[in-house]
Amino acid sequence: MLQKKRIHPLPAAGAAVFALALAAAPGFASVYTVHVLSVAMISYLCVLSVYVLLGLCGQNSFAQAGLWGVGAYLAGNVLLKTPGGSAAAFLAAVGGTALVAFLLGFAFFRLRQYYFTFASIGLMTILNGIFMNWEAFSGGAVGMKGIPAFSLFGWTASTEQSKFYVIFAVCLAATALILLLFRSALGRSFMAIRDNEMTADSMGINSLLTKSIAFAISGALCGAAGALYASLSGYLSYQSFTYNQSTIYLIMIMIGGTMSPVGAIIGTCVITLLQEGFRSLQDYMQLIYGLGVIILMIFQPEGILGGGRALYERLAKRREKTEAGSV
Amino acid sequence: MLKIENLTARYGSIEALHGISLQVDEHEMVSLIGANGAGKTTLLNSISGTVSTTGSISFQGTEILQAKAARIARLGLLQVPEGRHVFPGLTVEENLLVGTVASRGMRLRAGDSSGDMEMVFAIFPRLKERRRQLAWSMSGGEQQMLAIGRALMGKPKLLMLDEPSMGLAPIVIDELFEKIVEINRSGVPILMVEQNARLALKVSDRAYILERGAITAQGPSRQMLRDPKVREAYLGKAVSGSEG
Repeated sequence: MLQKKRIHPLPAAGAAVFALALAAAPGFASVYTVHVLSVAMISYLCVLSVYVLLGLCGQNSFAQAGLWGVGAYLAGNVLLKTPGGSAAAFLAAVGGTALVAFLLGFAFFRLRQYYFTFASIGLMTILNGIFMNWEAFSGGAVGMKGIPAFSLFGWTASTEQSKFYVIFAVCLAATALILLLFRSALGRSFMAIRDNEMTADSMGINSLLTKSIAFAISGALCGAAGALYASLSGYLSYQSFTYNQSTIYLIMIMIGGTMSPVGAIIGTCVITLLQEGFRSLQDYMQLIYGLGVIILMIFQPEGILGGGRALYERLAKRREKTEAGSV
Repeated sequence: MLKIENLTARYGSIEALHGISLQVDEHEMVSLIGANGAGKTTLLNSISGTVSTTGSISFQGTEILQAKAARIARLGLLQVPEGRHVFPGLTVEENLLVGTVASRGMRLRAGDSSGDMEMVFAIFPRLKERRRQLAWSMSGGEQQMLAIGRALMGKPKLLMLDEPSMGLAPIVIDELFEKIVEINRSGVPILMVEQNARLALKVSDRAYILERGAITAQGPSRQMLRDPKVREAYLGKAVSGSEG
């Protein structure tokens, strides 16, 4: 058995309990809460895309909300202008966004590290400009209205609860796929590039191609999130797909921890709770995020998950010590 | 199998290598010695494709002068960089598995690499003990072993070692060089850059001396060890006669 197991029992059990509780939520929560949870799960997919790019591959992008928008508008176009239906829209959004991301990645990843980050800021601005001005594709400033809900084989997700379960299923599948990626040879190549790109190159890893694949995978996740969002809200506006939204995804993963999808879950939950719990403090939200991130980076740079892990390991060590002492 | 002719390398407007010609044959261990700044690492990096060059580098009959670094590695020409550069956030095992990209290409499925890994563990048993440890937490000597092991996972047809002894304690260096000789005896030709000229000349078959970007002497290592000029410049002035 050569594959090492880096999954710790406690976080894994925590994630399972969390998933079950989330699955049960529509049974007792209000329609409003269910809607908030659906939106949060869509955010989670985008945060997961940041995990793939930043956590695994070490590349920081500010364009994720733009890719999310690409997915949303692609799905909207398929649903409104073709007889394809939800499944075709979903596949078009996932595949189309992945392709766009791959091609952009192939062009942009000639730039290394923070030069790529700068380029991604430019990309985000351009994408937002396209969403605002290309009327045939996005409806321009007016936006895209009347996008139908998910439907498959004659069944339509008409209630908030049924929409919730569609999104929940996609999130589960995406998480499972990303965990598989983490254990795959490709995932290891991502991490090699994250740790040392030059050496990875000289070990035979084509870093340009590999980084583009990472960007494509993150694009596929954003595309899925976009397709879900289009059908959930029924209306798309360029004002959703902004640079600010990209930063929020980054903040979410930084707060949760970049080393695992569990970090993406934690970060999404924390920020969503803050947004919902302190609606009255809306005007100060940016300030709270900003301060929160600064404080966290100083005291716990690996996020809440990193802090939890350190605590868990310390407790385990102490237990070992006391057991050894009592013998 | 590696034949370099009239190679020049530049960093911007500065020419760092001026018309180098060098050759490594099957089964050979060749060392490259020279002072700091002579261009030893530049020469290895030129072969690995990370420096801009002119001239000719042919590896097993293929011209690789213009080839990308990743492709050169896939051809089986693997460099263990100076200062080791293991992937710090990966475990020993994962570092080794990254090395298989060079021989098997990029792929999604990990596949079974246990045979290759056991081969590396047989040479460096210490790595087996530490297989689940993160690479950054290991000592310098262990990291050097890991870097060499990682290159071996790529099934090198020619191994290039850049300053393997750098920063290591003398006792660790002795152990490491025994392993390097063992790897060479198993049939892997080695081109080695080494500050410790005495050690390099002792273990290698042939040697080149690089001074200010040009090769100034070459020959069998035994002969070089006795050469008074070499002794004076690279082995310390005390010509005791007991060496060699």
